[in-house]
Amino acid sequence: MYKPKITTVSTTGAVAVAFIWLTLSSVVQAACPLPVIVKGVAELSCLSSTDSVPLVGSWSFTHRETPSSQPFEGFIEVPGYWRNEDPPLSAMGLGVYRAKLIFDGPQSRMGLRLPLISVARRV
Amino acid sequence: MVYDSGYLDGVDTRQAPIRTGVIALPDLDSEITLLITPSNDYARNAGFGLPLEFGSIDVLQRDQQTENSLSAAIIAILAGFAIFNFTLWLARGQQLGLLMLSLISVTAGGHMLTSTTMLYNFFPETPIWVGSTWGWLTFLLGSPAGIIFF
Repeated sequence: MYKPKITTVSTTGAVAVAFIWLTLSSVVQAACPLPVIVKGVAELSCLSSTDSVPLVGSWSFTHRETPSSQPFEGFIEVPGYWRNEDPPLSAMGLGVYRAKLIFDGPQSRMGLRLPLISVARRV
Repeated sequence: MVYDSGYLDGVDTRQAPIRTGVIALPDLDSEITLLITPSNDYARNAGFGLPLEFGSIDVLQRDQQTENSLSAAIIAILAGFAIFNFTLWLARGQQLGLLMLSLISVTAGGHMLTSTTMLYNFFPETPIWVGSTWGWLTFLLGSPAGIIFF
Protein backbone atom coordinates (compact mmCIF):
# COMPACT_ATOMS: atom_id res chain seq x y z
CA MET A 1 0.00 0.00 0.00
CA TYR A 2 2.90 2.30 0.78
CA LYS A 3 5.14 1.67 -2.28
CA PRO A 4 2.74 2.93 -4.96
CA LYS A 5 2.43 6.19 -3.03
CA ILE A 6 6.20 6.75 -3.17
CA THR A 7 6.18 5.97 -6.88
CA THR A 8 3.34 8.42 -7.48
CA VAL A 9 5.04 11.16 -5.48
CA SER A 10 8.41 10.65 -7.21
CA THR A 11 6.77 10.54 -10.64
CA THR A 12 4.86 13.73 -9.93
CA GLY A 13 8.08 15.34 -8.66
CA ALA A 14 9.99 14.32 -11.77
CA VAL A 15 7.25 15.69 -14.02
CA ALA A 16 7.23 18.95 -12.04
CA VAL A 17 11.01 19.30 -12.26
CA ALA A 18 10.96 18.55 -15.99
CA PHE A 19 8.18 21.13 -16.49
CA ILE A 20 10.07 23.81 -14.55
CA TRP A 21 13.31 23.02 -16.42
CA LEU A 22 11.59 23.19 -19.80
CA THR A 23 9.88 26.46 -18.88
CA LEU A 24 13.13 28.01 -17.66
CA SER A 25 15.09 26.84 -20.69
CA SER A 26 12.48 28.29 -23.05
CA VAL A 27 12.61 31.61 -21.17
CA VAL A 28 16.42 31.63 -21.46
CA GLN A 29 16.18 30.86 -25.18
CA ALA A 30 13.62 33.61 -25.67
CA ALA A 31 15.93 36.08 -23.92
CA CYS A 32 18.78 35.00 -26.18
CA PRO A 33 17.37 34.51 -29.68
CA LEU A 34 19.39 33.17 -32.59
CA PRO A 35 21.52 36.00 -33.98
CA VAL A 36 20.91 37.27 -37.50
CA ILE A 37 23.40 39.22 -39.55
CA VAL A 38 21.81 42.53 -40.46
CA LYS A 39 23.59 44.58 -43.11
CA GLY A 40 26.86 42.86 -42.38
CA VAL A 41 26.75 43.10 -38.59
CA ALA A 42 25.81 40.44 -36.06
CA GLU A 43 25.44 40.86 -32.32
CA LEU A 44 26.67 37.63 -30.71
CA SER A 45 26.81 38.76 -27.11
CA CYS A 46 24.52 35.88 -26.13
CA LEU A 47 26.88 33.30 -27.58
CA SER A 48 28.33 31.12 -24.85
CA SER A 49 31.51 29.08 -25.08
CA THR A 50 29.43 25.93 -25.48
CA ASP A 51 27.24 27.16 -28.34
CA SER A 52 27.30 27.35 -32.08
CA VAL A 53 25.10 29.49 -34.32
CA PRO A 54 24.37 29.57 -38.05
CA LEU A 55 25.61 32.82 -39.61
CA VAL A 56 22.46 33.65 -41.57
CA GLY A 57 21.29 37.02 -42.77
CA SER A 58 22.51 39.78 -45.04
CA TRP A 59 26.28 39.85 -45.40
CA SER A 60 28.20 42.72 -46.96
CA PHE A 61 29.18 41.50 -50.39
CA THR A 62 31.45 42.50 -53.21
CA HIS A 63 31.42 40.62 -56.50
CA ARG A 64 33.62 40.94 -59.52
CA GLU A 65 33.06 38.66 -62.50
CA THR A 66 36.46 39.36 -64.04
CA PRO A 67 39.36 41.48 -62.76
CA SER A 68 38.48 44.19 -65.28
CA SER A 69 34.69 44.17 -64.78
CA GLN A 70 32.72 46.66 -62.71
CA PRO A 71 32.36 45.36 -59.15
CA PHE A 72 28.98 44.90 -57.48
CA GLU A 73 28.86 46.13 -53.91
CA GLY A 74 25.92 45.58 -51.64
CA PHE A 75 24.41 42.92 -49.40
CA ILE A 76 23.65 39.28 -50.03
CA GLU A 77 21.50 36.78 -48.19
CA VAL A 78 23.11 33.69 -46.70
CA PRO A 79 21.99 31.03 -47.36
CA GLY A 80 21.63 31.91 -51.02
CA TYR A 81 23.29 31.87 -54.41
CA TRP A 82 24.63 34.85 -56.35
CA ARG A 83 22.44 34.24 -59.37
CA ASN A 84 19.30 34.45 -57.21
CA GLU A 85 20.08 38.00 -56.21
CA ASP A 86 18.15 40.98 -57.51
CA PRO A 87 19.60 41.93 -59.95
CA PRO A 88 21.02 38.44 -60.62
CA LEU A 89 24.79 38.21 -60.49
CA SER A 90 26.91 35.92 -62.61
CA ALA A 91 27.86 32.71 -60.82
CA MET A 92 31.38 33.18 -62.15
CA GLY A 93 34.01 35.35 -60.61
CA LEU A 94 35.22 36.31 -57.18
CA GLY A 95 33.01 37.25 -54.24
CA VAL A 96 33.94 38.74 -50.89
CA TYR A 97 31.59 38.15 -47.97
CA ARG A 98 32.08 40.40 -44.94
CA ALA A 99 30.42 40.22 -41.55
CA LYS A 100 31.30 42.08 -38.39
CA LEU A 101 30.74 39.88 -35.34
CA ILE A 102 30.36 41.58 -31.97
CA PHE A 103 30.81 39.64 -28.74
CA ASP A 104 30.51 40.65 -25.12
CA GLY A 105 34.24 40.08 -24.61
CA PRO A 106 37.29 38.34 -26.05
CA GLN A 107 36.65 34.79 -27.22
CA SER A 108 38.88 31.75 -27.34
CA ARG A 109 38.59 28.25 -28.80
CA MET A 110 36.14 29.35 -31.45
CA GLY A 111 35.78 27.93 -34.92
CA LEU A 112 33.97 28.11 -38.20
CA ARG A 113 32.36 25.37 -40.23
CA LEU A 114 31.68 25.91 -43.91
CA PRO A 115 29.15 23.83 -45.82
CA LEU A 116 30.34 21.79 -48.79
CA ILE A 117 30.65 24.24 -51.66
CA SER A 118 31.93 23.57 -55.17
CA VAL A 119 34.08 26.67 -55.38
CA ALA A 120 37.57 27.64 -54.23
CA ARG A 121 37.53 29.71 -51.04
CA ARG A 122 39.64 31.59 -48.53
CA VAL A 123 38.76 32.64 -44.96
CA MET B 1 44.10 34.12 -43.05
CA VAL B 2 42.96 30.91 -41.39
CA TYR B 3 42.04 28.80 -44.39
CA ASP B 4 42.90 28.73 -48.08
CA SER B 5 41.72 26.03 -50.45
CA GLY B 6 44.11 27.31 -53.12
CA TYR B 7 43.22 27.92 -56.78
CA LEU B 8 41.51 31.15 -55.80
CA ASP B 9 43.32 33.15 -58.43
CA GLY B 10 43.74 30.28 -60.84
CA VAL B 11 41.68 29.43 -63.88
CA ASP B 12 40.41 26.03 -62.78
CA THR B 13 38.81 26.31 -59.34
CA ARG B 14 37.57 22.70 -59.68
CA GLN B 15 41.05 21.57 -58.66
CA ALA B 16 40.54 22.96 -55.14
CA PRO B 17 39.77 20.41 -52.43
CA ILE B 18 36.04 20.26 -51.72
CA ARG B 19 36.33 19.66 -48.00
CA THR B 20 36.91 22.54 -45.64
CA GLY B 21 36.44 20.86 -42.29
CA VAL B 22 36.16 22.77 -39.05
CA ILE B 23 38.39 25.85 -39.10
CA ALA B 24 40.00 26.74 -35.77
CA LEU B 25 40.10 30.48 -35.22
CA PRO B 26 42.77 32.28 -33.17
CA ASP B 27 41.79 34.03 -29.94
CA LEU B 28 39.29 36.72 -30.88
CA ASP B 29 38.77 40.26 -29.66
CA SER B 30 35.29 41.42 -28.73
CA GLU B 31 34.76 42.56 -32.31
CA ILE B 32 36.00 40.86 -35.46
CA THR B 33 35.35 41.08 -39.18
CA LEU B 34 34.95 37.77 -40.89
CA LEU B 35 36.02 37.81 -44.53
CA ILE B 36 35.24 34.90 -46.82
CA THR B 37 36.27 34.90 -50.45
CA PRO B 38 34.79 32.27 -52.77
CA SER B 39 35.99 32.07 -56.34
CA ASN B 40 34.15 30.26 -59.11
CA ASP B 41 34.92 29.63 -62.77
CA TYR B 42 32.89 26.51 -63.37
CA ALA B 43 30.00 25.70 -60.98
CA ARG B 44 26.43 26.64 -61.89
CA ASN B 45 25.82 27.95 -58.40
CA ALA B 46 28.19 30.07 -56.40
CA GLY B 47 27.53 31.28 -52.89
CA PHE B 48 26.46 29.54 -49.73
CA GLY B 49 23.40 27.37 -50.25
CA LEU B 50 23.64 26.42 -46.61
CA PRO B 51 24.61 28.67 -43.71
CA LEU B 52 28.05 28.76 -42.18
CA GLU B 53 28.25 27.75 -38.56
CA PHE B 54 30.20 29.72 -35.99
CA GLY B 55 30.86 28.85 -32.36
CA SER B 56 32.82 26.77 -29.93
CA ILE B 57 35.25 24.55 -31.77
CA ASP B 58 34.30 21.61 -29.56
CA VAL B 59 30.63 22.02 -30.45
CA LEU B 60 31.41 22.36 -34.17
CA GLN B 61 33.56 19.22 -34.11
CA ARG B 62 30.85 17.36 -32.23
CA ASP B 63 28.24 18.49 -34.78
CA GLN B 64 30.50 17.33 -37.58
CA GLN B 65 30.98 13.99 -35.86
CA THR B 66 27.24 13.58 -35.39
CA GLU B 67 26.65 14.27 -39.09
CA ASN B 68 29.37 11.78 -40.02
CA SER B 69 27.83 9.11 -37.82
CA LEU B 70 24.38 9.69 -39.26
CA SER B 71 25.69 9.59 -42.83
CA ALA B 72 27.69 6.44 -42.10
CA ALA B 73 24.60 4.76 -40.63
CA ILE B 74 22.44 5.63 -43.65
CA ILE B 75 25.14 4.49 -46.12
CA ALA B 76 25.53 1.23 -44.17
CA ILE B 77 21.76 0.63 -44.30
CA LEU B 78 21.73 1.31 -48.06
CA ALA B 79 24.71 -1.01 -48.57
CA GLY B 80 23.00 -3.73 -46.53
CA PHE B 81 19.79 -3.26 -48.50
CA ALA B 82 21.75 -3.48 -51.76
CA ILE B 83 23.51 -6.70 -50.72
CA PHE B 84 20.24 -8.21 -49.50
CA ASN B 85 18.43 -7.49 -52.76
CA PHE B 86 21.37 -8.59 -54.87
CA THR B 87 21.48 -11.90 -52.97
CA LEU B 88 17.75 -12.33 -53.50
CA TRP B 89 18.20 -11.60 -57.20
CA LEU B 90 20.95 -14.21 -57.42
CA ALA B 91 18.78 -16.74 -55.60
CA ARG B 92 15.57 -16.11 -57.49
CA GLY B 93 16.98 -14.99 -60.84
CA GLN B 94 14.76 -13.48 -63.51
CA GLN B 95 13.40 -10.80 -61.15
CA LEU B 96 14.82 -7.60 -62.63
CA GLY B 97 13.13 -5.51 -59.94
CA LEU B 98 15.41 -6.93 -57.25
CA LEU B 99 18.51 -6.09 -59.28
CA MET B 100 17.27 -2.57 -59.92
CA LEU B 101 16.47 -2.09 -56.25
CA SER B 102 19.98 -3.19 -55.44
CA LEU B 103 21.40 -0.78 -58.02
CA ILE B 104 19.28 2.09 -56.69
CA SER B 105 20.59 1.43 -53.18
CA VAL B 106 24.20 1.28 -54.36
CA THR B 107 23.94 4.53 -56.32
CA ALA B 108 22.05 6.31 -53.52
CA GLY B 109 24.74 5.24 -51.03
CA GLY B 110 27.46 6.20 -53.53
CA HIS B 111 25.85 9.59 -54.06
CA MET B 112 25.75 10.17 -50.31
CA LEU B 113 29.49 9.57 -50.12
CA THR B 114 30.11 12.82 -51.96
CA SER B 115 27.03 14.83 -51.01
CA THR B 116 28.08 14.48 -47.36
CA THR B 117 31.61 14.71 -45.99
CA MET B 118 32.01 10.92 -45.74
CA LEU B 119 34.40 10.40 -48.67
CA TYR B 120 36.33 13.58 -47.88
CA ASN B 121 37.02 12.48 -44.31
CA PHE B 122 39.09 9.63 -45.75
CA PHE B 123 40.43 11.59 -48.73
CA PRO B 124 40.58 15.23 -47.59
CA GLU B 125 42.33 16.44 -50.72
CA THR B 126 39.61 15.17 -53.07
CA PRO B 127 39.20 17.96 -55.65
CA ILE B 128 35.85 19.51 -56.45
CA TRP B 129 35.73 17.96 -59.94
CA VAL B 130 35.97 14.41 -58.53
CA GLY B 131 33.06 14.99 -56.14
CA SER B 132 31.04 16.63 -58.88
CA THR B 133 31.74 13.88 -61.44
CA TRP B 134 30.98 11.13 -58.91
CA GLY B 135 27.74 12.86 -57.96
CA TRP B 136 26.57 13.05 -61.57
CA LEU B 137 27.70 9.49 -62.31
CA THR B 138 25.72 8.01 -59.42
CA PHE B 139 22.71 10.16 -60.33
CA LEU B 140 22.80 9.11 -64.00
CA LEU B 141 23.21 5.44 -63.07
CA GLY B 142 20.56 5.48 -60.39
CA SER B 143 17.90 7.34 -62.38
CA PRO B 144 17.41 4.68 -65.12
CA ALA B 145 17.43 1.97 -62.46
CA GLY B 146 14.68 3.87 -60.66
CA ILE B 147 12.65 4.27 -63.86
CA ILE B 148 12.95 0.55 -64.68
CA PHE B 149 12.04 -0.43 -61.13
CA PHE B 150 9.00 1.80 -60.79
